[in-house]
Amino acid sequence: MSRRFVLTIVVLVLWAVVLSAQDSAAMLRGMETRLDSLRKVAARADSVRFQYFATDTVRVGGLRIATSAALRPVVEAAAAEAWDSIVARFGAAASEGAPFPVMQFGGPETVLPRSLDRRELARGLAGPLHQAIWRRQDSRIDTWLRGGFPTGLLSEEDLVTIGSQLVRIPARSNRACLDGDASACANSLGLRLGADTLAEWYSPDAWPGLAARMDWPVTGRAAWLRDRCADARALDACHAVLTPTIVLQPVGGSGRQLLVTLALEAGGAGAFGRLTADSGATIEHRLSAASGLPVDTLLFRWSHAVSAALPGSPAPSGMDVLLTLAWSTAVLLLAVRGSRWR
Amino acid sequence: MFRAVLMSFWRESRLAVILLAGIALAVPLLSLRGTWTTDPWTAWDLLGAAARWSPGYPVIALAAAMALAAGAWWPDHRTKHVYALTLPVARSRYLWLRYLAGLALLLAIGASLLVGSLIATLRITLPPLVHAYPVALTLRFGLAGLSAYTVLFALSGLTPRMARLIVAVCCALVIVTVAAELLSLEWNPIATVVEALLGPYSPLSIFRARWMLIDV
Repeated sequence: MSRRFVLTIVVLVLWAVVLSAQDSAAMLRGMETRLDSLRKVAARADSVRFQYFATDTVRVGGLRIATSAALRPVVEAAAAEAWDSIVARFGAAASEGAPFPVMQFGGPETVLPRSLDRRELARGLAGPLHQAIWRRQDSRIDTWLRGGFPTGLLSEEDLVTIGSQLVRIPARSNRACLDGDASACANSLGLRLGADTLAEWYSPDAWPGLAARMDWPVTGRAAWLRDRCADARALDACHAVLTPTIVLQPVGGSGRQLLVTLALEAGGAGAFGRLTADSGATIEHRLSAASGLPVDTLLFRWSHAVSAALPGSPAPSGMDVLLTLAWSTAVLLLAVRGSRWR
Repeated sequence: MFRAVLMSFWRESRLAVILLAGIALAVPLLSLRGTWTTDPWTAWDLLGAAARWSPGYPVIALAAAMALAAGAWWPDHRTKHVYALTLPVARSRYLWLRYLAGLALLLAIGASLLVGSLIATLRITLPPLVHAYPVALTLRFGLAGLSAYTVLFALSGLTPRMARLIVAVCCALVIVTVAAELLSLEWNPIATVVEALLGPYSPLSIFRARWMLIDV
């Protein structure tokens, strides 16, 4: 009797837990539905507001920009510049495929700043088209670029970041790559990898540290393996958890984007077409075809560009010293030449 | 004469100078505290630590400049310049001596930063391609301190009339900025002034850099 009673209580408790979980799930679903409907209302409001404001559409090449008549001259000039840069980069691929979505520029209260740089605006308009054209390409290049696409020249800061990664991350090939070894750079950039990515990138003594610095959220067995790898230095656990998808790359996505940018620049007209022509070829071959150069030459250029941008010493330059002394002397002379005390 | 001015400056500002020198000595040591082994991830950890503490150096340089510039003028302002007027020297010479005395104390703070940086970096075996820059960092610190100290020294010594004028200009800047914002003029005079003060050829441009004790 008492056993049956306990069993009934256990079943009731379990049922209550399931019920409460269902309640929470139902509440969550309800909130999501409400949020979705609010988003739809907001989008509709934006659309109505924009239809009222947008009285003009600028069409330049494949670019279509809805804007106001007042903003048209500026937008038209910037769009022409943007389209020229798109055609120069992507060639025929810019006009192929489905039309690009209509972009919106400005709002009812938009007043263009006096300091507006037309080139800046052109870059802003070209950015979404760059993304759209890259997204149309095959999955191999998309996977290799890890979803980040090159949208133009990288900044000096990006080059510093890539250089710092080569020094900070203890991948087998990073140091040699920074010294100009093209083959090492190919390994760091994931161009010539065999089946065991982890072992090819990192020596086993770096694996526990790699697991400890993992920023990929893992749960369950993967979390247990990560802890075993990081704390107990169990290499089999490291090998199991540090899969190619989540292992820290020796060089981040911006390094790969830089290589593609260098290839497209070296290749000139038609480079993008050659890069995307043969979707079955390896990335290495495609980059070589795009640039018209042996891939090792391209990788050497990449390594040279990165090592040239390494920050080095924080010592002030001669110009810094000169400027500081000149300003200090001028300010000091102004301060001491007066005769009044107060 | 310089010795007397320096001693008077020291008496008035010694607490701030000792505190700042202590901080300048401690920051590099704290940034690289702990044991550094030959782990493959040493470069990662060292560069991360250096980057985390790097904003501390320009802040100390600025704090030292502010404390010394205030210390150069505050005793005279407080006693209505009676001590300075009793001295048998011209105003300009007296100001030069005051300025140089402050500079000497700034050098002392810079020297303690150098000592701290050298101790912190000498106890570490650096991984390949990673370099320590104790002297270079101290040089930048010294120049930044000099630049900020000079500007603040000049501002602290302004006559009340000139000070009022500068305050009025600042107020006008704020009012114009607010008005421009209300009129949607897309123009921000305060941002323009800040940009001019920190621009590449400005008096404070020396502050614009990577203040890394350890870098690639």
